[in-house]
Amino acid sequence: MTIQKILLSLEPKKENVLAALHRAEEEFGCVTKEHMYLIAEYFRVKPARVAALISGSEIFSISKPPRLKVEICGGPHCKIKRSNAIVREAEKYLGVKIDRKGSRKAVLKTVNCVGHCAHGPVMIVNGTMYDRVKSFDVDDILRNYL
Amino acid sequence: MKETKIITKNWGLINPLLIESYLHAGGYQQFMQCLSGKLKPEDVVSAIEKSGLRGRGGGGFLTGKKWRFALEASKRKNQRPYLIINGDESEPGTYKDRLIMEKDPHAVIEGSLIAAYALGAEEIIIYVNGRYREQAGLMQKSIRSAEEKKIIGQKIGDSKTSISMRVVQSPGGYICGEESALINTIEGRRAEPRLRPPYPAEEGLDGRPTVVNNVETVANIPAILEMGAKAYSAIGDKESTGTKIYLVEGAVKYAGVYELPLGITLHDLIYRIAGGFKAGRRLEFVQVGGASGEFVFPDGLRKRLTYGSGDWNVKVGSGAILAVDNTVDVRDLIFSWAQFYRQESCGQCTPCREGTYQLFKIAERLKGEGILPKDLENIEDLLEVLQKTSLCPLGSMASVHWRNIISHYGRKFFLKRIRKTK
Repeated sequence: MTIQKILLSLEPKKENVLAALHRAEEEFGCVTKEHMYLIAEYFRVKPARVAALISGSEIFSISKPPRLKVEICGGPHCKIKRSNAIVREAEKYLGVKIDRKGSRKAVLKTVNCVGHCAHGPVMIVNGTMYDRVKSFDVDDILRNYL
Repeated sequence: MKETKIITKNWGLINPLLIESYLHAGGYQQFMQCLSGKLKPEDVVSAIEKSGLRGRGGGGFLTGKKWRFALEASKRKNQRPYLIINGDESEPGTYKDRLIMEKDPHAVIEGSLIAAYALGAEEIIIYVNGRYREQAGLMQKSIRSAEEKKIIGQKIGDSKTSISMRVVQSPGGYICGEESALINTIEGRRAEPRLRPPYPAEEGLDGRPTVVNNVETVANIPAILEMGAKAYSAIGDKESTGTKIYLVEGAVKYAGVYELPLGITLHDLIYRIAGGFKAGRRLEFVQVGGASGEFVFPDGLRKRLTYGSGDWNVKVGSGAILAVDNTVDVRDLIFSWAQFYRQESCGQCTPCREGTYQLFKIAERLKGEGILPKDLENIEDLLEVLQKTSLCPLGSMASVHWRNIISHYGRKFFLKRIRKTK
């Protein structure tokens, strides 16, 4: 699937800009500069507007993420259910610090509440969600991705 | 004490993927009555007004009043209004809209169809959180199956009403739940709140009058028409009628989702429904209404959960209730909230952008090696500026928990944690 195919499947109306961005993010894992220009051209809006929409969002990213993108929920509910222990475990396993610039292989991030508070703590690896994660589960989960 | 099931009555009993299952449970009957002309749009609006239904998103504004404003504006401007169903919910600790959409999507669709009929709206947008990809897909599928059954579409059931419905996914972010920022993102702009007035009910999406209702609010509408406004307003409190979904989490024995009338006390909810606290735990405080909610300390457990004001009322907000006990480090929670607001501040107005950043820095120091002596002086100024000068409510929300902690634990909470200089 290319960006052109995604765009052609949508009607060129302004309200579909968001849908196009979501599809691109799902397909490529990021919305690059070229994608932005193509989306802006197709929907006849200014590229700056598309960029503004992306910069104000926490779901879209503008650069290609590393092979392993690990997100850990930092909401109060997950904090109460010991998400700090998972953070420490993941930092140890991946060799990167949370919310810092990651290595070429992996990046570790805090993410805001994803709405699965009852099943906390929540860890998202490359878009797949794991809930009720215990600190001893972390290396079992991450091993599958390395 | 038993649950009062209105929104949750079908949960677990029907198959949410099949429209037949919902039809079999008596679904879409109220909407069909509207179409057949038994219920005029005016009847629906007055029924909602009489029922005293309040917006369940957190603000608690009267739904009937909002509709009336939009109807007046659309009459004056001679434009049809838009109806947006807000299912964004990015409040930490809140997941009721996700559950409603997952367990009973057709109740949301029926409620919004009735609302659109009452308002004379032809377009409904269901606005779903960008992280809820599954739920957005489920809503899309449900809409398509309703279209196949000729419940949504042009000239539904040989009447004059035509309604179209679509799903929009938010770009993600706390501010997207705010009405005007939500409208901005649908128009393809950056998620930033607009200055008010004009209110969205006057001038919203594409300059047309727009009604934004929460998912839980519209899920109530078919039930109100079915049981009658009078019976509905008998449930709950005088000012805040009906039931609410409470999400009880934290140090209680039976954490979970409960549907109960508004106006019950926190004591009843925790001891008679959620089974009290786990053995050996001592309650520190209860936070009501998500990250922006007020704290209730153990001496205030007799307070009632409503949308009203008063000494013995707590604003129930989105319905999230978090019980924090003595095993939790409060500094961790402060850091979590501060980080959340720092990330979610859209950066439009200076007090909020800079204030939330400074609060985050203080929280980081508080969690780490200790705060600086000057932080102690700055913190109250920061909170005042945040509360009084920020453009949208996010700024004042970011200061709520700090203020509660200072008022309860006093300055000694911070004094103990000042960094010692060599």
